[in-house]
Amino acid sequence: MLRIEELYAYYGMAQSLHGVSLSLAEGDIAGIIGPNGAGKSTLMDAIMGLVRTQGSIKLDGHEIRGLSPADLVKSGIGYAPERAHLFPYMSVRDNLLVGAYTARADIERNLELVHDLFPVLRERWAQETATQSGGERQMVSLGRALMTSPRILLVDEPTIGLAPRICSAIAEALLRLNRETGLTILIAEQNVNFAMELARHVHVLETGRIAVEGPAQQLRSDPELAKAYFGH
Amino acid sequence: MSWITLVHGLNLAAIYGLMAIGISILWSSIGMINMAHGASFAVAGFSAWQVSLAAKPLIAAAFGTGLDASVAMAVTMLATGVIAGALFGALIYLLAYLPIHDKANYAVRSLIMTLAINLATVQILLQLFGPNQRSLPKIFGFGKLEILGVSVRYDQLGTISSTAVLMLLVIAWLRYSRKGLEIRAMMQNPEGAELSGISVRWTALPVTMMTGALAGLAAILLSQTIFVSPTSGAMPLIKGLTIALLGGLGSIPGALAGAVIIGFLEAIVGALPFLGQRYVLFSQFLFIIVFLIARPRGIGGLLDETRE
Repeated sequence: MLRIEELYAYYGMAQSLHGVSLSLAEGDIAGIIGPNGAGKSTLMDAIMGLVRTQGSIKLDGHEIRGLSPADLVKSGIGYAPERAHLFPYMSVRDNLLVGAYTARADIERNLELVHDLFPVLRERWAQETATQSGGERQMVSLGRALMTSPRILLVDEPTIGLAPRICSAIAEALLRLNRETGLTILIAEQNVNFAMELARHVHVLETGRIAVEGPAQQLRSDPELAKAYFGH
Repeated sequence: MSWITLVHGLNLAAIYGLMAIGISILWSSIGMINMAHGASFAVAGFSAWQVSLAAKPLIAAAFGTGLDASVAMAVTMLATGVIAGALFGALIYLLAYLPIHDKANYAVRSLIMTLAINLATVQILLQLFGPNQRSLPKIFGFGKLEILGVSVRYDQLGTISSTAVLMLLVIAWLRYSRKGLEIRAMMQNPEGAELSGISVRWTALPVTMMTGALAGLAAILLSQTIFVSPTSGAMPLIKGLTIALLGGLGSIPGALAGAVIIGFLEAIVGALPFLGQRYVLFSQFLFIIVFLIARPRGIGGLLDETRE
């Protein structure tokens, strides 16, 4: 479904990705893990057209590298970025409705899905996101991405700075989404255990390169890899 | 402070508010400091003047010289100002946004581009109409009205009330319409808006047209007390820009509060016998500088802190 080949990314003159290649099958959950500065967020931003890139990014065989973020959303990629990028002085409702810009026909159905996944957002309907907790903001960010009716959901560091209880709620929501709707998900995550629990296929990024990749179960059971990358 | 000063301050606040809100919305939504906002003002003023010359015999033939004719002329003037401002806003979009919005240093480039558009427009207006000042028909008529014992000129009442109505319409549009929701999203977080699928590139067009229309309306209203000239947009631009800064660029409530403060400051300083009109600009800039040193995020920053 999504195929990335020899992707290079640049912040100004600095090169952040060095020939990253990976593919994501329809209905899969894949994880990108790695230490701080490995290039996880850069890879997500590169897919979303937020940084200068070279190489190829294909969605269903069509080249999408070079499209604007808005066009990428229209083509079916939803993005919940690390920094959430919410609208702080808008209510939860308005934040979600902004996400419905490209999928107005699906507003009711998508809202129902978001409320079903994150019931707290129904209670906080009229609250400005500037006054919400980090966990609720992360839920709004995921909800807004779901309001775009995506075929692939990119999620960048969904658990950063959150309590374990919230992390579990988010993990459960992502698993339910994949299981019940068949949504393809790509997660960039520093929390290795979180990523390994969710993802069926894992890519380990190190200094802008894919160092190791494979099925999550296989990587976890390899003692050398487990010790080097997963801390056990 | 006398009631006359209060009315004068409100009148100035209304006009400056229209300019400042346009500048503030443009900056926060599409990252442009529009130095051609003054040109929008002048173009709208001259458009209204030209249309008034052409429409006068037509309106006289249709409505005679009574109240109906005055209302028809007022509607014609206001509509012309708004439409001319909006069209000039579209021109700014085509020249200073569309070709460069995705290029490096866009904010500086667009500032230079809009400054160039402003200078070129002033020169074109000078070429077409000469340096002479023109007066627009008095759309609110001549005379005064007693309100609670306070004498208010028709033009002041018309300016304050029509600005208030238009502001409410703009705020309601931003608050309740789909396009308004998109523009508010762009104002609060342009990257977040883009990541939600909003094409900032195309949504910028209604933003430039709306802010141009506000400048056009300000031109018609201010031209009830001063004349239209090729350079008549310079002072409203300076006032609008400084008030937008005082309000905290991007904050509509901040810009409104800033316009009221600067409007009243102008009215009060101008009315004080030991200061007078020559100290108006000095006192306004001094106030803005001191305020921004103490509160660099402007009035909008103060309001945000209160909300959070």
